[in-house]
Amino acid sequence: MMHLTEDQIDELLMGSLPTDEIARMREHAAGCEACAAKLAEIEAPIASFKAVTLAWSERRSATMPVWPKPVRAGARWTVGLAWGALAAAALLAAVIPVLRHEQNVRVQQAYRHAAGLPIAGQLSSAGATVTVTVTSANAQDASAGSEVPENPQEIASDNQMLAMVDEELNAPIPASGLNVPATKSRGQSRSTTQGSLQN
Amino acid sequence: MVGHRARTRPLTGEIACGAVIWGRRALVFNGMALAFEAVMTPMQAVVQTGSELDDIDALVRTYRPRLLRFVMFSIGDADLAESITQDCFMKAYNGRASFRGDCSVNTWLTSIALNLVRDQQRLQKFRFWRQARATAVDVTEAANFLPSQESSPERTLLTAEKSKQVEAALENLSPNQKMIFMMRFAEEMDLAEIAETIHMPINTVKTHLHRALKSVRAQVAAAK
Repeated sequence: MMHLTEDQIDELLMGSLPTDEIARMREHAAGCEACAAKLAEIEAPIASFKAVTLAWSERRSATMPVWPKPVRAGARWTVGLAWGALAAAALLAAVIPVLRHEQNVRVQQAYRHAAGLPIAGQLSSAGATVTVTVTSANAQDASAGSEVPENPQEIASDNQMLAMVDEELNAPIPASGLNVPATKSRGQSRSTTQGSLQN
Repeated sequence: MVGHRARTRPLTGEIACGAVIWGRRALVFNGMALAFEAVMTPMQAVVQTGSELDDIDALVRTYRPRLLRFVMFSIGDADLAESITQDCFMKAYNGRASFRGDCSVNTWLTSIALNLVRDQQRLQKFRFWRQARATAVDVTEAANFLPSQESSPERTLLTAEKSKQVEAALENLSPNQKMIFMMRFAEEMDLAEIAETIHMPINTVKTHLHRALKSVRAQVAAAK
């Protein structure tokens, strides 16, 4: 067999030849010093390159984190739980105000029924005065129309309490009874407040 | 969910020890005859390839060094190569359902990396600082970590020197030539495999490879 040509060496390295031809060329190179040297001239550097770069990349890879961490089964379970808790919290947040509102309405109704008091609270911002209108009405009339059976004793005590509140509100405020600094403007504003308290 | 855990955990062992683990487990649960059967089952390899992708730790341990090297010498920047390699594993893991098993896992990973490298090269065309190679490989240092049979200082130095010649020669190749050279001589893929991975006709691959090899041979010979 003739010496290996440059192209033959290339073909041999590229692995583009049939296996029997490769075997024949290797066999020749094994017995031919010139061809072996030629082949080694490129094969040795490539082998070195492979070894060195792999040593480098193995070392480098070892310092890298196993980063694309998959979502573990446990983590997925936790995420599910968290979503569940969130959904429950949202539901509660939505339901509680409704319930509370209902409760408020019921309490208000109970008061109205109990005292028969249409309570109107008005805050007039213009005059900075609070106008509270408390109208006494017949409790028995109110409870007659009531569907909820109520304890008459409770109603009576509530009425008594409201009457006392009424009385307190209507009582004239003694001029010297309050420790108000006796500036003129303060005294005026006090008197207007007093005047606006109506029965 | 418990089922999921039970399914993935044994795979680590499966990859590490193959049929031995299976054999032992079968021995414990089903007795001697089944153990023998499990060891002998030739289907094991097929099952392993499909499920191998579920265990990201094993996948990274087995394939990352070579993949990192491929990306590194295709793109020429260690830090960039590192992030591309990580992206590649994330893509592979997320898309593991699409792996049909008609090629090796290594080839599949290489093709993913190749697309990422190409995207990067397209990006770098428009970057004026692409020539500034901040993080090259220090070959002489890397040579110190070679396995022990290479450990004599003279040998190590010689190996590092030769490796450097190839590395320098790679610098002057086109991106495609570089990638194909790496696939052939570092990954030891054959021409048909390379053609499939890089989506090129086999003759085009051969042309690129031949040019690359001629160039590298000439530069290595000139460096002597």
